[in-house]
Amino acid sequence: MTAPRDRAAHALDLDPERVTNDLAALVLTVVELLRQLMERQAVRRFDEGTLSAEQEDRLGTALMLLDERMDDLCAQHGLSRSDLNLDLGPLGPLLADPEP
Amino acid sequence: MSASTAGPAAIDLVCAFAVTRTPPDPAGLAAARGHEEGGPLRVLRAGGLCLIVQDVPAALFDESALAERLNRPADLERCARAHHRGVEAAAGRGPVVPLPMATLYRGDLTAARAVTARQPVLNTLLDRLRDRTEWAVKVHAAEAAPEASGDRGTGAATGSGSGSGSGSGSGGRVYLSRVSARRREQRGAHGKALAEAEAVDAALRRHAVAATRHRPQSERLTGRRAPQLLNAAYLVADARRAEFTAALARFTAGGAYPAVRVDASGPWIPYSFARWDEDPRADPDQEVPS
Repeated sequence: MTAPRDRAAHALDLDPERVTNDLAALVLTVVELLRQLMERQAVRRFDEGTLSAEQEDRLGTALMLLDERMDDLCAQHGLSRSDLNLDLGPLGPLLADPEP
Repeated sequence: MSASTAGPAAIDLVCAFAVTRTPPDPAGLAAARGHEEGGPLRVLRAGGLCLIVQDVPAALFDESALAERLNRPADLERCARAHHRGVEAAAGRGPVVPLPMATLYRGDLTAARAVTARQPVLNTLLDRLRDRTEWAVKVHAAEAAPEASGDRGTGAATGSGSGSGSGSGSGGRVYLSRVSARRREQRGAHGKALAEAEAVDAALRRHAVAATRHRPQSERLTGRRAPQLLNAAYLVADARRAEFTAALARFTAGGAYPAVRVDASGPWIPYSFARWDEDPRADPDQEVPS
């Protein structure tokens, strides 16, 4: 009966510290993906000139704060922005242009 | 491990490395070591061809055991090196068709039958690979374009300073225009690097018999900050090797194309051009029109 238990122990790494860190990285990856999508959309509208000066300022400030907050969160978890990515195999990386 | 020494004869599999026309030098074959867990390398005749094989214990090489071992990077590397040793031992006397790593058969009979069944394809491949070697070329975007990283560093500092300092002001607009400029710059740099990678490929193809592209490796695998733009292999005739390597040297030295970094290795046994499960004649895309 010991053999299957050994195999299970090999297959699952349940070190709590590591699990927490992996989860944080995954959550931050999703947040970073959304942040980049929002930023991209905002920049597109900024480039098109369809935003009022006030909208530009509010949107830019919000995105800037979000960007700073991401730096803080990454630092807290000992991650860099380039760690927040998933290799999707033939589809390439999830985040197209990871910031250093 | 003890099980494999207890009764290897009964449960061995045959691991095949390469196909040749002429049997390799027996002394060289005896000196070479295939998989550490298996027996000596030997030659198996199949039709008019030679198959270089090794007996390996089934306990370590059956499907589930092998899958488990190949999932461990250290074991995968050991296995790949063993395979390459076997292929190298087979080469040296005329052309060689390297087989995919861990090509396994239940016994000599099935191995020989597999070769005989593919004899026309193998003969075509042997003709095609004779006196030709493979060169691997990887093109990456040049790391850290100085403008882009510099702009981000200084821009971020001044931007956040004015933004949070004044409380409202135009910090947000400055941030947006900076992001916009950075994105334009990145797009431009990426487009330029991609075009240069294509130019390198086009130039090298002129000196090669055939070329093929593999999927670019991820940054995690290459350990670089810059994306891999081209992961190509070129089949080069020995007679034209000097001109190919001269062209290659111009690119690897840098300067000709400043937006990319070109790395090359070779000559290799032409693994990328030895797909024996495909008919090489049915793949005209690979062949470079001369």
